[in-house]
Amino acid sequence: MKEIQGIFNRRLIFVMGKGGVGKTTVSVSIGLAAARLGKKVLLVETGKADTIAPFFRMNSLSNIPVVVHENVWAVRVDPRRELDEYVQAHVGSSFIAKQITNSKLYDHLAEATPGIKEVMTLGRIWRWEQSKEKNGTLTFDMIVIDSPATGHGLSLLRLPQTVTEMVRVGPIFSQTKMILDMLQNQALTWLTVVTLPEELPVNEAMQFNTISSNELNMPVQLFFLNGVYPPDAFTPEQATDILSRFEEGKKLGRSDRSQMVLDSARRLIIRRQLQETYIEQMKNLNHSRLIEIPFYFINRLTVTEALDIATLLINKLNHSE
Amino acid sequence: MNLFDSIEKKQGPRIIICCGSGGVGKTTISASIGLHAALCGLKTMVLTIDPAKRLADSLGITSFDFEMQQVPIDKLTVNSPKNGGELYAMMLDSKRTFDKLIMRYATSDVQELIYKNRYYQHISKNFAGSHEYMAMEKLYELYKENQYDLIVLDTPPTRQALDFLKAPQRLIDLLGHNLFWKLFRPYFQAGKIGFRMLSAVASPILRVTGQVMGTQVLDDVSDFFRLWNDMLFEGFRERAMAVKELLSGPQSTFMIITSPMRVPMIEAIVFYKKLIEHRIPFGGFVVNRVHPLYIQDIDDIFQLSEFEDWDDTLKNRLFETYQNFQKLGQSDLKAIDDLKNIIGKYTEVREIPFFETDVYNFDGLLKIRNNIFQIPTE
Repeated sequence: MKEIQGIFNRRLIFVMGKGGVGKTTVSVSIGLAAARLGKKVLLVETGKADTIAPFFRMNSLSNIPVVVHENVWAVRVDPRRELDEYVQAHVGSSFIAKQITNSKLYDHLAEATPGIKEVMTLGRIWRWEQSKEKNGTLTFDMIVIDSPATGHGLSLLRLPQTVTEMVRVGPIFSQTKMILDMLQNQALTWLTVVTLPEELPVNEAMQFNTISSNELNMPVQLFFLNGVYPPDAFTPEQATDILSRFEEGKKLGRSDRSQMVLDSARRLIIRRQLQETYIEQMKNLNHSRLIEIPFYFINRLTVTEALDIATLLINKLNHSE
Repeated sequence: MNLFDSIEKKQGPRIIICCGSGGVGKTTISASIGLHAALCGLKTMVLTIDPAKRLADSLGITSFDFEMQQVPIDKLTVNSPKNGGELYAMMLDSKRTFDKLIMRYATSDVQELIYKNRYYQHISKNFAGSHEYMAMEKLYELYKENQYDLIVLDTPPTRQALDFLKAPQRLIDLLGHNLFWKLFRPYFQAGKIGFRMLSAVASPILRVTGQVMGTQVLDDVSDFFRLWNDMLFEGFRERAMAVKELLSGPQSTFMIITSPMRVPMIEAIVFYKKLIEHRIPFGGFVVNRVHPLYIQDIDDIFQLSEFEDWDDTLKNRLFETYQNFQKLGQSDLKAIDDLKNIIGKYTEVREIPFFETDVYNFDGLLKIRNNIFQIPTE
């Protein structure tokens, strides 16, 4: 699959998806993979909850990038803080700026003005994208954005379009236009979607795919299908045998160790069968741009699993050459 | 008596609000709670958002509609509901609810202008918490109609804990006579020319805000506020206050739905702390998708007589699979123990096992209900 190669040559990767599908796991893994290929990577956390930090045994991230792994930095965007800083830059005097940003009226406007938080988030990302070191090299080669869950993620990406339509002049317009151009430039920005082989996440991924092509003008470049159970743990004959022995034991009311072993095997077999439909649906949607990520038997993934997935991504890249 | 037992005794709240992050099965669990209440003889409404089509199918209704629909439970289950038990379902449409509110309080000529206003279109769709607020608004409307013994609300997944509790206040603040209104209205009522005047004379706050956020936005805002007369505002304000009172009053109880996964758990705990801090009635946690705990050790799998006809490769696979699920079960147990340590022993936590099949049929809903309410099955 040569499509995967593209991801490591982009500056901005937006990782989208429904809540709970593993956006953070995928974001961190993409970042670690790119870092291993020698890129300087910035991981960006956008939500309220601390999701990236626990991967690196930290409690939370601040609004200043910190090193979390070799060649990997992580940061949290705080839109309100960005807005305050923006106002300060605009006013010039920090004394007056403080008076403004501390006022209740400003507070209401900041909360109530549609899209202001999204603009600030995107503006911040844009500045990181532009950021250069003293010697002229880029501060970050790749920026991975662990986007908010689908609904809010969509409004984040939709915003620049809306703003450029609503606000036709002024500093906000010109800046937003630049951001919009950056987002829609596929040589620069890739939109990726994470989903699970389950009904609602797959439906949402498909809806998102349509919206992103038709409305955002930012087609989805890669789909990550997370939590895929192993397809070949047992041969079909073995599976049949296991299932019938389990049923037999169940009829006899057994709950001994061998029955528990059969129960665990049965769970694996049945889950995989259930996943089959959704894996097919995703393959039909876009076979060549689909990356399957195996299920990990633990509910608190760490950097270990993310490194494992990073290896998987790099292997896919090598196989495609 | 805890919330879970109170429903059967018909001594429970009139409203149950199910909160939690996305992807934990909140909609399915809300439906199961509604089903339980109906089977216990309560006339119950489940107010939901964006349900899976198959959930609608499993409830025996063609699709969720913005109009309420009755779920034919007696056709779907052998357990017929106790006397008076009925189940209804309805899907939320926040834009439409917002429009309806405007319709209620504005004269018809103003209505049209408001609907067309871009700022209105924005706040009705995008205003922080507007979905949450409209969910509450719909809830209030249904509550006041007094048609149901119990209303179960499946809330929109919210990243910001308590967004929807703050939403009424924020809306009041935004549209309020308080600061915003007093400062803006004279200018707004003067229209766009007034706004330019404002730029020249107003406080640096407004001037800077206008420059930063764009004057076009303020023009749209000013148009919107010119339409927003006292009557309309008073209607909205009273309504928002009433909604707020209803939510924090004794007739409502909150529940948190989560799963043992890291992110939903973190969010559930944040949410719980906020509810307690605001002294909002709380009924307990439901932890969905809990894996079974295999406590037995099977290091001697190769000696187990039951598997003696199987080859070593298969035995190894079985061993590995068992161990994997053992790890998963322990991982889930730890997550739930951590939760219990935080919330203390007086808060109810009900667990629902991770079913090996998808829960998209009526039997599945019954199974969940039996687990939440600890109803013994033969």
